[in-house]
Amino acid sequence: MPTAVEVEPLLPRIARGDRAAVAACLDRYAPLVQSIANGWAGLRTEAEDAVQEIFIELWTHAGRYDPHQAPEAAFVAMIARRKLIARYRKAKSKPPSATLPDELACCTADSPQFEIDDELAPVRRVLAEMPDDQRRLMMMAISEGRTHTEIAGATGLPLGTVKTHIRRGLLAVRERLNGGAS
Amino acid sequence: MTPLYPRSIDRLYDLLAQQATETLSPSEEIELNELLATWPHIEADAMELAASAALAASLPAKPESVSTALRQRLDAGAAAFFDEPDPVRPKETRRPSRLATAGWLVAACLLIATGVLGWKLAESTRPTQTESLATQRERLLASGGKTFRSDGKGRVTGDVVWDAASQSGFMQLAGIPANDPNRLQYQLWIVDPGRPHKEPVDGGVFDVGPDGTALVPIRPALTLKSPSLFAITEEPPGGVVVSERGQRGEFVVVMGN
Repeated sequence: MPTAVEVEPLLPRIARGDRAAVAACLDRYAPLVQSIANGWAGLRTEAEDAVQEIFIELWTHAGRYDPHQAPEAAFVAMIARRKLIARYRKAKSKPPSATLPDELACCTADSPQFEIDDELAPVRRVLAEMPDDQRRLMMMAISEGRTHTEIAGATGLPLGTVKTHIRRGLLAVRERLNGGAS
Repeated sequence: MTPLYPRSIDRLYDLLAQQATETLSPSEEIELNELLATWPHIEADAMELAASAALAASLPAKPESVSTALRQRLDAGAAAFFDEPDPVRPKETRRPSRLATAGWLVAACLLIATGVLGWKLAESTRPTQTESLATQRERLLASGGKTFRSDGKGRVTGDVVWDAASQSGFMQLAGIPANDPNRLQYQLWIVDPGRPHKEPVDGGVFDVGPDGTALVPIRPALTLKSPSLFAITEEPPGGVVVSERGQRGEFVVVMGN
């Protein structure tokens, strides 16, 4: 089973005022944030505006990152996701449904991705091991911003089943983040 | 009294999962807050972090390329952010314990209950380096930002202009003693009854120069729903996670609406 590879976290350095870490953080995470934003924004210019807002949020909250709680990439993604949700709720519009492929290309342990791939390898492993329905329903909620009711309507599954799948999927990821073997 | 719902950890995870993927109703937020208090070792954002980790890990193998123009914008934005004068800086602290909240809230509410009058901060000549912040504050005020003011009875006076939509604001203070950052720093706390967790939100630390004034941009680490009080305490350099001074009601100034 792959384990998380130690990647030097940059946010604590940024919180201490290390300007060199800022550039390194942009090098490491701008592609990730851009990818997340592109999944939510309809236009590339909107996505780029969102990316800029997300990084300002990240600089503001850098001191909140706890390396013992989650990989830094997960924290960056959380800030990005929060900002994007707020942005689209403010616009009173729904994020476009970024359709995920049935087979997630990322979900093989050895696929190349970002520099941050190593620290997310255990999470990708969890996703790969997860039952297809569970992963699909969880990612519909996470990536597409659909409500549980909407997912139930789209899939024809009972609402309770949808909620259970999503919860179990998130718990599996959480356990792996905490170093457990889910 | 028999609880309306079982104090079940399963229910806690249900609510955390729902919070991480959609929204909670007000009653569910209250229920979640109570359950989190029952299991204080479970982080409130545990499932949101899990969702975000899954999101990051599920992205296509080929990363999006960042254009040169965007990278230049990001570099410029970072430079502007970190070159801002006297910003409230992020620091390496974690969310205050829920257990330490009640006394703090009571102390803050008692203090503000002494009466918040329609005091207006005297206009002051701002140093050149804060003109841009002053302009931003004026713009926020003109666009309908909500104002919170001190009661004007103490030596230190101030106000906060807050915009819920952008989750940002500005605090200006007058009559506040200059601090030696190596010995103590001022820390902003925000009381938000609309949040599921009732502990005050840490607004960051800041310093005050010899002129005894400060104009501080506010960017809280957590989303505020309906802030009611902005309070300042003196704390050790870097700030604290839980303010003992706040729990004792030892505020430099409190601003309410």
